[in-house]
Amino acid sequence: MSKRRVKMYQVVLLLFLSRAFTIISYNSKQGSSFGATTALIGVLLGFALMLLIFLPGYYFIRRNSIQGEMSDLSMCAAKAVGKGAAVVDVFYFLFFAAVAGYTVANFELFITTAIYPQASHFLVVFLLILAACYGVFMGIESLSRTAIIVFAVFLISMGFIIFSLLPQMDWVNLKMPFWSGLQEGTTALFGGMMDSVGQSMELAALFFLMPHIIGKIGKGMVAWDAMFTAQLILVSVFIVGILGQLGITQPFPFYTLASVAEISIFQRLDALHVSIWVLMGYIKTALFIFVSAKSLSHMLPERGRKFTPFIATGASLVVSLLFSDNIQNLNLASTVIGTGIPVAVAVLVIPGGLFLIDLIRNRKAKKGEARR
Amino acid sequence: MKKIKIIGCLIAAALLLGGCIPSKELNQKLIVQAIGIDLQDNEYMVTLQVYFPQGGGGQSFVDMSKPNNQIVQGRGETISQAVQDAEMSQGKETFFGHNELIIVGKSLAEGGLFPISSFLNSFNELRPNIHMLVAEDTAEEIVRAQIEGSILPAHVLGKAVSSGEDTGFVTQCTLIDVMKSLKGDGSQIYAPIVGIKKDEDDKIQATFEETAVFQEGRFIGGLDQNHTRGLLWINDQIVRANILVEDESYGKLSVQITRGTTRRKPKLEDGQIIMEICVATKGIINERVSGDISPVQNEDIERIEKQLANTIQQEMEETLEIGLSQYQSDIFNFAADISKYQPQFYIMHQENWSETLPEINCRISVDCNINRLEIETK
Repeated sequence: MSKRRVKMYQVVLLLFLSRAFTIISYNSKQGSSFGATTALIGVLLGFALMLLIFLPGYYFIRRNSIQGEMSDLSMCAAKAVGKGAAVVDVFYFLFFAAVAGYTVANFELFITTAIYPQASHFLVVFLLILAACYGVFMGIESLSRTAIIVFAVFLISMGFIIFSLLPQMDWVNLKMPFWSGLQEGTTALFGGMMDSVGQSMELAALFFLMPHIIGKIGKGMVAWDAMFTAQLILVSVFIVGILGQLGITQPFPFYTLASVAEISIFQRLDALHVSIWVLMGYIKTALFIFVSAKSLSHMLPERGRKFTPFIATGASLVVSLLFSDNIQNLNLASTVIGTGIPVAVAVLVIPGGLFLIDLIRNRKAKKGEARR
Repeated sequence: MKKIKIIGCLIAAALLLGGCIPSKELNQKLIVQAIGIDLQDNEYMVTLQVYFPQGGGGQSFVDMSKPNNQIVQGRGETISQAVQDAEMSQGKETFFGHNELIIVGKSLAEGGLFPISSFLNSFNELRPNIHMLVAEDTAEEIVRAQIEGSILPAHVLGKAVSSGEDTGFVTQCTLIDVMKSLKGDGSQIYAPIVGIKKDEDDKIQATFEETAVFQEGRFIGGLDQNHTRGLLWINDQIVRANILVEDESYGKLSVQITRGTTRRKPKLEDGQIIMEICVATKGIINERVSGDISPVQNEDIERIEKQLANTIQQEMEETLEIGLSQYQSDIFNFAADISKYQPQFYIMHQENWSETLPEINCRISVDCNINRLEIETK
């Protein structure tokens, strides 16, 4: 895979669409809490927490990069731990492939639950993976350009849906934070934080996109964090304001909202929602197969690197087939993701651990030099 | 060469993959416009009004003078089985994407909506904002009725319900409202009761004379038209209304409400909830029924405004008395207001909320502003 470069704002849009897909595909049966007013405070705390957990990995990569040319996490791991970096490569290859597969499985779940129950599970999964593989093959530049177009369409469709739902908002459903008591309020607060942080695999993907980025990564990360936090809050407010208690029990609350939205001659806007959602699902799947292939390419010799997109696609397909058409596996995966542990490991534990190892080794080296 | 190969692959994919998902022609589908659900002998009877275009002798595809619909029925132990039974009788697959109404039979409503809530909530083709009506007798009777006024009787019913809030006499109840209530958000369902009658020309018309009041998903009683309007005032759902005011000087006056806003706020006084309800309206004097043709004088408007306010207040007070004390049903959704502004009180009384309702006192204030007198020569 050749290294092509894209501007930071394109990557921000790419990551935003990827994260937004998770927000509008939210399945109440898989999530912890969604949308209660107290949970929104948790989402705001999650915004700050995301910045904090991103820092160790970011500084580790910056320390090990040449001025003007950022490395990725895997390259920096190789400098810090030598051959031990292969473990890092394997982990992230599997991790990103699993995220892509999980995304496709969720996509298939929605299609076969809400839209077309008779559709073939394998066909839905296979077609999306195939399309994503083509996107990966075309590279980060084309993926980012696609993201710009999809983002514009996303803004228009969200605008339509929000504008048409405003008259139906019942503000009385938005209760005061902690109205039901401290214990329940704390659970909702924590749930909100987990909804924000626990689903943000894009942070880990950013560690592998850095060599491709032109521009200030720190600012871009903050912009992405702010954008999806704002979207999460907006969607939550509308779900609670319009559906009330029902929003927690609906399998796909945002889809229900889009079904209810009507404006002028458009009696239902769910078709608009589904079309933009399909594009976002494609973007997310392609993004994670891309970074999975990137991780794998560090382990393979030069000759084998052209096959990495296909290997990563194959791994994602296997994972998606494990989860699709098997609701128990999918719910189990969602529960694990909901704990925040996968994101914590991928974004904080491994990069943070590598950062510490790098710091310790540098200090030892400096002490050794000082003694001489 | 590479481009030719890619184009070839794309054409092959388009040809081969296009037939992978089963499809049915339109004429092999039952395009359902209205569903009626009744419970008879412990079995669900589903009556479907489906679109069945009947063209005229010439080039027209749809002949307005013909019914253009077909009634299909099915029975089963569950609603899904009953629908399947209906499909089997026609050899066609149902399509509910254009369905406008769900009509529930009176006996089913009295037994409770919980058994059918799973079907209403889970079935992916049903839109969440379709209307639910309660039949005066059986849903079958309403669905079968060939109500005149449009290509399809279901359209007429749908339009009547949609525009009903404009008149202030017909409420709207959607599937979302039903599911919110059944999921236990504190509110109770209220839905229009639909009946049929024949006019002098023997044409069938729909009537909406009452509103069904539910308690824990069961139909327990009705509200007449005036109390229905009182309910709409309290719930801030009045869009337009025409109110009759009796004045000592001008006789009967028809006042057209052009704008109405209701604000509610619960307050706690000595451990009791006082619900303050403030209504602000704007209106036009439409018509005066009296022998005198002289116009309404400006100095009399304030008196008429007070009379109008009293009329509205009386409707609201009577409705509150019926809803809170007689039916003990929170059709006003006071639970939402109280849980927001007085959460501790709500949490304490949440478990026995219906018993708490009669203790809620309401303080109503109505402000009417008649700012137009219609066009009338002096």
